[in-house]
Amino acid sequence: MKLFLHEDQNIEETIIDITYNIFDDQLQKIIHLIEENDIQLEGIKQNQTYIIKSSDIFYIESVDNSTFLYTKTDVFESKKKLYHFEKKLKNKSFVQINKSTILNMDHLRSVSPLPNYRLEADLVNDDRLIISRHYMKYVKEYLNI
Amino acid sequence: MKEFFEDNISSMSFTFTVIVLLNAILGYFLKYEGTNNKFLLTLAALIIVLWAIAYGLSLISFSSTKMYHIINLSSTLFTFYVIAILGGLIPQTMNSVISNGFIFIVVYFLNVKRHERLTEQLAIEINERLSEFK
Repeated sequence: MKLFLHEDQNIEETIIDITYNIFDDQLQKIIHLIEENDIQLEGIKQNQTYIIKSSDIFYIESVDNSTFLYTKTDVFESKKKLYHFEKKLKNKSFVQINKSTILNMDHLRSVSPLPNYRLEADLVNDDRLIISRHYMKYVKEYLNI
Repeated sequence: MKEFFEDNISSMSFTFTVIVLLNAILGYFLKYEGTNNKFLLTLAALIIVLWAIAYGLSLISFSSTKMYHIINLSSTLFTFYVIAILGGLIPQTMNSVISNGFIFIVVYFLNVKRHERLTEQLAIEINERLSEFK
């Protein structure tokens, strides 16, 4: 089996293209791994339920008794609690950054310092979130700092 | 020289603190004469209490940084005076209250500046790591 990696900064989404002669167990395992990597979540918008890929979610925020899933351009509501998403998205690219927000680190562009030892997270869609002092260690852990 | 201190000041401070505290604890319980063991242990307890208050306050979301510092400084300064006077760390004179209060405020703001610098450094490190991923 040979592995080729090709970088193309013009594409919006990573494409995995597998060329094979025989469809065997090893190949099945690889496909399974790739498919499991993108967890799907349910969100409600205008009384309609949508299935959202976790990779499309920028951040998840809990407000009052509801949880909101933010993609690049949309917001979906969920009745599930934040800890439900925390558990489901464990070991993925999602990190809790304050008491009520889980951030998809793949969509984090940069951070800047704020007063009171907090950081401001600047996302690729220009949204800004607060990384509170007590959750910085999770961001550091994720980035291996 | 500057690099030497920057790289090693935390470890040296830790080592110094452990040696002084261990000596104070041993000296206090073995009743060594001529040493300020009670002073050192009371000071250590005071520092722990003050940092615990500051930690507790950092868990609260304040409306502004100014409000955070006003409440943090006033509560820790008040606690400092109570423990320091009752523990015999400082005499109960006006001069002592003013001079120790001044020192406390200076140390408080030096710590604020230190934490701000650490937060800035962390932001730089995070941004460098993020640029490696992109």
